[in-house]
Amino acid sequence: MEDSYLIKLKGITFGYNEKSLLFNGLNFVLPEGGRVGITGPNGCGKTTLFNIIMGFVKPIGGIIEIAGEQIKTEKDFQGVRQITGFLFQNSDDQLFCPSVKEEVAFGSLNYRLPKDEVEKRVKESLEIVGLQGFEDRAPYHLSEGEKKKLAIATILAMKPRVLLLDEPTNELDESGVKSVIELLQSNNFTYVVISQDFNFLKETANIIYTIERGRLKEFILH
Amino acid sequence: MFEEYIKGNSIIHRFDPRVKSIYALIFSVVIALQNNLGSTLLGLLTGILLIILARIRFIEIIKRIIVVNEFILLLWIVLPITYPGEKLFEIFNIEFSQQGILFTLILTIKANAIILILISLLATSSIFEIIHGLIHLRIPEKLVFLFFLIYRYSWVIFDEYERLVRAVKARGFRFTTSLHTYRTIAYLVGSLLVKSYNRAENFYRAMVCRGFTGRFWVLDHFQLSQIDILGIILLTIGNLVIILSKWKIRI
Repeated sequence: MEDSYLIKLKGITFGYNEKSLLFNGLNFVLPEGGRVGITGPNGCGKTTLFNIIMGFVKPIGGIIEIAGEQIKTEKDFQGVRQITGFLFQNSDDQLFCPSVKEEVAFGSLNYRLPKDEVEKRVKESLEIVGLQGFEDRAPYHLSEGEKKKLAIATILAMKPRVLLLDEPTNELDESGVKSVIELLQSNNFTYVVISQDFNFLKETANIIYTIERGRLKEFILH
Repeated sequence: MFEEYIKGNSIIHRFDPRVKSIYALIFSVVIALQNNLGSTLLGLLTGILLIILARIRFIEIIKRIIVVNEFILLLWIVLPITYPGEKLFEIFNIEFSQQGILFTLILTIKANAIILILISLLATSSIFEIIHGLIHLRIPEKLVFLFFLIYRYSWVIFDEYERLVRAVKARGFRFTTSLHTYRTIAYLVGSLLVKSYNRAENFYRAMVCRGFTGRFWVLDHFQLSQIDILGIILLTIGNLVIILSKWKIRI
């Protein structure tokens, strides 16, 4: 069963402690092909929102629907992770394999894709982010910008239906930011991107939200 | 950590990492079990020979060996005067036993021989070649990846530690022997533990995000070549010579 939206959150309530709620009846809809930006002050819950979608933290209340299916159990979330590419804020948290090639292949190998297909995806993904020729390099010896590009390649190789990008430009220089903008503009991705960089959000998002008093509110750029 | 020796085209570099891993272990055990000077000297000779074959410059190796021998120096201070045996000489009424000196000398040679062999055989492969080699040798995957992750994250945690030290130094902190220093070190260690825990959690999430279910799959596989067969023969001969010398060489 598929609907025209990929992600729908209804009345999400969540707090790290019982006294103060981070989300209080938060609603969110990401349609197929949607390009959504989220901004807001530190600690307002931007990354937590992604963690709820991926099933890493459980909301106190509310409904999570992904691609028309209501998501409740860990097994349901495994399905979500298969169609969702989650880019972490800190690339060092995301890269763990001994070589760039292995790193990009990791997800595809877990889903038991044939070797030829895995190698094709590795090549394609590295080309998209401009890391051709880096296959045998160790990820932990790359520069911060290169690590970020590699982290993007690792999720692109899984051909996800939706991307959750948490601060994709925070370790990149001007040309790196430009290449991420080009990457997002020139491909038909559905994504939610968290950033504090308004110029970046203006270039990449159709609609921008901020989190205020536990709910999403449309953010108007002046 | 020893990654400066990975690049090279020597015969040792071209050996299959599985062969090198197995023989690094065999050599280490064989040399560690020797208890006469002749056999351990042969072990040291083998180590030197392997370093030459790996075309690693001795000047670089010496720096590593000095670090190892700093620990062995402690044995030289203690063992010759505490090990029971015949008196060889005496300084300020402290007796140095012949057996004690011989025992310490054998330990020194063993340690240096093993470190040379480990550098020549293991440091000439990249960490991921060794990891793959171990997986292909059917070493339990969880153990192999635990080893890799310790290696991988020791860099990250070390970087984190350096950042913390820079942060405290930037605020005028100096390491002295005061209560303030000890308290600050405790804060640093505590902070490092919390950060490590957070990183471990994020890292697990990153793996789960990409479909990890407890099994590590590898993309490329190794195949034994003629050069590996040659390596197996040479390294086996090396081991046999050390083992047999126990009965043939007496010094």
